[in-house]
Amino acid sequence: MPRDKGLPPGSLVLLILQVLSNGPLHGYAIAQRIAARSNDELSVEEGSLYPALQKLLLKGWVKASPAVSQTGRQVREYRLLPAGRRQLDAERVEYRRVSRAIAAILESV
Amino acid sequence: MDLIGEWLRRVWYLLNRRRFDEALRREMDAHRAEMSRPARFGNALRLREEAQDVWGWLWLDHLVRDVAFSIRTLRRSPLFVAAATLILAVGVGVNLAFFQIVNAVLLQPYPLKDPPTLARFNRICCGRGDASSTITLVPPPMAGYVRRHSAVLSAVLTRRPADVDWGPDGMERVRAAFVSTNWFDELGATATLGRLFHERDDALLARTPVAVLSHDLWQRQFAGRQDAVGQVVLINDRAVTVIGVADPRFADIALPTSAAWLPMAHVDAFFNTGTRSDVDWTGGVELFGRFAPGVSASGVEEGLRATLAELSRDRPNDVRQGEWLEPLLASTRFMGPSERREALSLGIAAGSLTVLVLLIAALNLGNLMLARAISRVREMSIRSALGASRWRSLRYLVLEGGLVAAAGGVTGLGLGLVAAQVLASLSGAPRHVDLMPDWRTALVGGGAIALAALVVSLPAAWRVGRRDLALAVRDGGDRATAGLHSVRLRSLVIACQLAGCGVLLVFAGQMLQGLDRLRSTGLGFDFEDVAVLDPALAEHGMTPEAAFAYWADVRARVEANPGVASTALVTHAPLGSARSTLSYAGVPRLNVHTLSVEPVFFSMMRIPILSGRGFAPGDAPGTVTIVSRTVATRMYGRADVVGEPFPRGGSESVIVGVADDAHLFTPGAPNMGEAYGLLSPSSAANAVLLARARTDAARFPGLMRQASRAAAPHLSPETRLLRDDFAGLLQGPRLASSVAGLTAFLALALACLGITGVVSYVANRRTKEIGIRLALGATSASAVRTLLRGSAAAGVAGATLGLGGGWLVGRLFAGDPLYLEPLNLSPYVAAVVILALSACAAAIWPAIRLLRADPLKALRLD
Repeated sequence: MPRDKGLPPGSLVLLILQVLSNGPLHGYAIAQRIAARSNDELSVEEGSLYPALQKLLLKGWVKASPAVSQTGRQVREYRLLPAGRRQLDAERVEYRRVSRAIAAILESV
Repeated sequence: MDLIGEWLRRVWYLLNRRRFDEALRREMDAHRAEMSRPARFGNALRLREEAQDVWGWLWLDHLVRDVAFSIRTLRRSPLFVAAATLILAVGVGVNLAFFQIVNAVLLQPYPLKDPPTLARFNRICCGRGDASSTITLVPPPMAGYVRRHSAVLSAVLTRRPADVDWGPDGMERVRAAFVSTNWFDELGATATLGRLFHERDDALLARTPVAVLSHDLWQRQFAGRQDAVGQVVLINDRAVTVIGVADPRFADIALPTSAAWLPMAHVDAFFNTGTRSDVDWTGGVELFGRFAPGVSASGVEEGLRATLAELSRDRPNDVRQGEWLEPLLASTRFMGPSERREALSLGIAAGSLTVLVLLIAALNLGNLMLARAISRVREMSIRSALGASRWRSLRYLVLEGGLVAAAGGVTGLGLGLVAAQVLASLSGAPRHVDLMPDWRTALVGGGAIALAALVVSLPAAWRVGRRDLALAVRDGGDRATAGLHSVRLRSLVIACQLAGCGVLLVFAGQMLQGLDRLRSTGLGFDFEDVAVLDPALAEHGMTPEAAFAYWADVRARVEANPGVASTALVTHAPLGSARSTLSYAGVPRLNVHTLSVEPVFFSMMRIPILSGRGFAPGDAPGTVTIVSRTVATRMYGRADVVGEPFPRGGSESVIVGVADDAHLFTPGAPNMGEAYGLLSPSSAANAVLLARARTDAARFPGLMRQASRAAAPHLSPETRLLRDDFAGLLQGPRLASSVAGLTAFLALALACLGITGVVSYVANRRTKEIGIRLALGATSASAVRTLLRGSAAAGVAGATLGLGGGWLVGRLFAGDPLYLEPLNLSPYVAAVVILALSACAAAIWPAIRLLRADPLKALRLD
């Protein structure tokens, strides 16, 4: 069972979509970008990353195309599709709603 | 929409899986290489499988892998696979051959244009008293009236089958049909060569005699030559131009199929009647109709009732009040609902017998698979210990069973289709009987294979699946397989197999007995050495007076021959297809064949008069009746009914005698009786002549033909021997008995294989024990008893069950058309003897092998 450090359950798809919203990235770069943007607070295990990417492909939210990494290796770059962007917006709204609700509960106590 | 898109992407992934998997592998390799500590990446293969699982096709991968593994395993046992395939091929083949025949003759509609809107019409007449009768022919003027006045039919078709003389010498008799000119168009026929005739050709056809030939006749008479079209041939000594050849697949609605078709307008000219048959109310044609658009079968029936009611008012002497026309649809092969139900239930009952063969074959194989599974318990336990799920381990067993069933099933499908073709050609089925597989065949074939796979795989998977596989790793499989070696399950399988064989053997025995009954004196009359002369005088338009004179002349000529013992005129020749059958509302399940005969008929056919008297010279036709014993007892409840009116409650005729039962038209049928009237001179045109020879009637057909030609040269009468008609009647039951016997013996052979297998298995398991017994002085007989104890009891139980099943099947088929006698003991005795001998023969071989083995060697081996 992969254990993603500090990652709230169900948030991986949102994070991947978010980092892809700035431009196409390959798998390793996605993991790196999430770690970097969270100041190494969050890290994505490979065992979670690749099934999640396959799910995004299956849902038609991203598209994969062959590319070459900065180190010259053959990789696949994932590009956000319009459906993926819509999904990102929806997940953002949902995440904010849930986190506001959780915050409200925490503050009330 | 999202869901459809997702499924399309899943399918796209499946189609390009290799490419996608390779890209993912490369991507993961790159990922690992980029990492500062690649070892943390984990098991790449597992990660890849987890990622691929998202697409939902991983089960397919596993299945393909498992199938490949099962195939590899099976390839290591080629003998087992060959035997298993053969055993199942027999089981599936028997079922499919049977189903193909049922499908072709019962389920598939006739291959005609739009069968649901085409019907044949039977004329239902109300007779004397409460009798009603079904007549398959209608008078031509009635057909004409229906054509002119009925709005519920868009087309009316008529057909009149007739045998004609073909060629200049006129020696070949050909089955022809005079048909209405819309015949081919309405039935959707096409021509292989030349053309057919059409309704628009009416004017031309009225002047020129033409014929369309069947494919078979064209091949026979013209050797398939293209120049047959346009040739002039002689039919009944008239010149006829061949205009075309019908497609060989064209179904001619009724059997036997016609060899040539001629326009109905010429029928009078061909038979020199000198009259117009289209206004003859005593004649008969087959009537068919195409429903008007939007009119249902019940609408047609109602519409025609009204039409016939009008006709009855116009011609009360020819059409009785309340007569109606019963539509029989082409889509149900011109069978009425009850007739079709009966035929289907017979088909299902017979089909369940062939399923027994499949079950016996599959049970046999299931037994073998169980033995294989036991020998592999250890292997499965190791798999289980290495992480394979229990289901995954068992799946190999199920897959192996499924693969063997599929191999046997596919071979069986081929075997069944070939067997169906062979049976069809042996029984002389016409070309349009389509035995090519269709969706029903695929369904039944698939069902048979699935059933076989289930029976083959389940015992092994069920028995082994309940074991603790982890135990087998620790102790080498001894405790895990303990109990699996029990002979109980195998004995149960033997019992089931022998029960199935018992049913089939008793059934085959009852069929053979029925055939024997037909062949021997069971008919109640003596048909040997009797010939028939049927000149169809009414069809030739002969008046009763002319017919009377003709018969006087012919009889004088025939009786002048010293070989002739006696002659008699009757309205319906025994064993012929023409018959008149009445049923009475007050006497359920009794059909009475009625015929008019001359007084000499009873002594000539050797039918004893049981009480009363035969017809006497002073009797007036229509006032006296002789009934058979069955009619007397079923209609009046007693045998002595002399002096009673016939039918019961009627007043026209009185019973003067009771004759013994004679199965004149439907041999073997229990619910049939006969009622004889005295032949009147006015029926002479509808009569046929029977002549009994003193020694052998073989020459009589020629002799009677010559006599007829001398009396009336323009007639071309049909002559035949009753024994030939009887042989024709026997053809169907003989073929059916042979098939039933063959099926039973196939099942028996399969069961014997099973018995040999089980006894060998027990012998192998108990070699040590029996070795000790023999070493301690036990006799060979007691050793064999030890060996067979469990199996023999199961065998006896199975056989007893089988005999009971045979009795049930006999009861099921006690009626039309097989008329089996379930209470007759001989088939049961024969089945017991055959089962006992076969089972002993199957068991004795492994037993002898065991006894021949050196007991000390057996002990040393342990």
